[in-house]
Amino acid sequence: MNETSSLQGADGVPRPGGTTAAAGLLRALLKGPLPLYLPAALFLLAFFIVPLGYVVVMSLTEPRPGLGNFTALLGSRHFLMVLLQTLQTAALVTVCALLLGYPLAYVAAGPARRLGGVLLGVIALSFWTSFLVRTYAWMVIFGRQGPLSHWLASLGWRPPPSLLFTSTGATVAMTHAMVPFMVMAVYAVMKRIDERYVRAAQSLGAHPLRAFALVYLPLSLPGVVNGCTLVFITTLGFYVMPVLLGSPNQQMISGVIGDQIEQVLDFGAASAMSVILLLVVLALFWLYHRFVGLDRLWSR
Amino acid sequence: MPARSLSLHHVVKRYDNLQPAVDGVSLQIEPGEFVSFLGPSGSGKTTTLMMIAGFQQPTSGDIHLAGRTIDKMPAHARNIGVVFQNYALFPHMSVADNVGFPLRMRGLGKAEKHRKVGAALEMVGLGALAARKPAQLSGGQQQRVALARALVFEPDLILLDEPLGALDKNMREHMQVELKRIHRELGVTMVYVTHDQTEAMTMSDRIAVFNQGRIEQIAAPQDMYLRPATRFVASFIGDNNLISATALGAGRYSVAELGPLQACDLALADGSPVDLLLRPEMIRLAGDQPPCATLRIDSAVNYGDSVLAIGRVGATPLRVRIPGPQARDLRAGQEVPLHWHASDIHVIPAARA
Ligand SMILES: Nc1ncnc2c1ncn2[C@@H]1O[C@H](COP(=O)(O)OP(=O)(O)O)[C@@H](O)[C@H]1O
Ligand SMILES: [Mg+2]
Repeated sequence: MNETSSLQGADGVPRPGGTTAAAGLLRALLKGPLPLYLPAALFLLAFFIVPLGYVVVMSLTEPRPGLGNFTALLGSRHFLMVLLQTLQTAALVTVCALLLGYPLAYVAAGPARRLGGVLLGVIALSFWTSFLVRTYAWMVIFGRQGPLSHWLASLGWRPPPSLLFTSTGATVAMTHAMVPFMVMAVYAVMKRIDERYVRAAQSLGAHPLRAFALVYLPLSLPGVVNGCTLVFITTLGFYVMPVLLGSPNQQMISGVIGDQIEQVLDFGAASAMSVILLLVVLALFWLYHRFVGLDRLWSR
Repeated sequence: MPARSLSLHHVVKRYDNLQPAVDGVSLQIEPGEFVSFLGPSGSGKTTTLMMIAGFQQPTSGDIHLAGRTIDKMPAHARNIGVVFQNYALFPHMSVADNVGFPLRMRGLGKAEKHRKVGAALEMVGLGALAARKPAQLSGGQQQRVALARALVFEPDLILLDEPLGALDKNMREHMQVELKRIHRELGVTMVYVTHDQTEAMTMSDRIAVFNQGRIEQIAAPQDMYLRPATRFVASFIGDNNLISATALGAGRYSVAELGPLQACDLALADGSPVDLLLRPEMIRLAGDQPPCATLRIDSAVNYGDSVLAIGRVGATPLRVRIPGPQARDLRAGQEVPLHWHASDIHVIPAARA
């Protein structure tokens, strides 16, 4: 996992439970005995809070003090398009990860234990494979000479399309990266749904499909909300995959921030973009907290 | 409510290659009967119930409801009400929606549904709580909702899996009475799973005692108590003295160290091994009558209304329950003469090893 962005947390590693860890830490900070949380608190302060504060300061002072960076960005059609594009892509990845992940989690949490174990194993395997390795693997698969093109050509699609450097390709790869998070968030909730609920529904006359729709699905919704929150927020900050696989004309916000720093050396604008992304994420967390409760991210 | 018969014919359930969970169960339950499945944990009660409800397929054998086989019928088409262990109330639905669920599945109109839900909740004494969520109810109230939900659609049969297991003692006794009242009022056939022998004894028309996937005996509570068919049933139901003995013919049995005992004559071959069952409350202090044996008391437990004297006759351990005032002076270390009637000893032919 080498995905890093200026905003995806000091540890730079999005993982299931990351948000809980944050909520748990918050609680521990408020209640726990000092010696237990002091190391973590110092670490976060030094490597997360301080740099983040520095970014905020830069956004307000570079090249000169004031809100100039923000007014310029919010007045820029290009930036707003990038922001919209990023939100759209994150939403698409979230929906795709849910459509793929929900059935997977359903089977994995079901009564067929061996099959469930194999599925979870395969998911964990792709999860443990280095992020960069997976990104390069996608570059090979999507490449003009890659297996996907060959396969499409053999189906009679000429000239075969290449997904490399398209936003579709980046979306597919990001979905692949996010499915494990979705599966684990949904699985954690499904595993606790007593099979007796569905049986009760059936004994009361509900066809299995109806029992699923009226009982199992609603009971699994907390997992869906958790998984979607996790995937959506993580995807907003994706950097490596959209930059290496995506279309240069349809960048996501992290890529644009990177360009600002590496190519234009405009630290003020880059910081302001980061702050705006941070505000979007915080707003999402606030919504989540408002309607679900941060402390209930993993419990019902 | 319609009352239906239920019968199981040589039903076997094997989960894997080990010992079957249910090993050839046959029984016939009459319309309107209240039958308990009683047995220790792991004896196959729940599995049998789940096969009747349609959530497990029997490995072999078949099940008839009202004379028709239901082997091929999916669970949702069986019209059987089930009260699950821990109730399985839908946590995201109100009490009224829980109880209305089976009516909704049957496409009932709003008005009729409302009326029936109200009546069912009245029946279990919860009319005022229709709008609550299950989590806002006490254990006893959840239990009642589960019961209302299982009977509101007038099922052919109601199955209850240890429904009172999670309740405290007072609540449990209260609910036992309630359940029996509801059974009487509705006349519906009920199968009730429990591992609590008192519960089975007080509520059932008949009890089926399960052990290791088999039914050891099925009988009315009093018959079961007085004439258990096997050593297992005798030891599982009620307090007991089980004494290994050998038949001597003509109703006499020899007990090592105790000498010959007179009991009823089962016309067993001389030398057949038997178990003699002598319930502790059948034994009296001898008084003026000729003593049958002398008990050396090791400990005396006072229950207020009676005293349980635990001791030995020779080397044979014996429990004796003496009621009322005459028991007050019993102390550990005493030797007391005992009397019983030969007819109070129940003879169980020992299973051949
Ligand atoms: N789904 C299952 N898979 C495998 N074995 C099971 C399953 N359900 C029950 N068993 C086994 O079958 C036996 C009977 O269980 P059960 O019917 O639940 O007993 P009871 O309800 O009398 O406690 C037990 O040994 C139990 O371990
Ligand atoms: Mg059970």
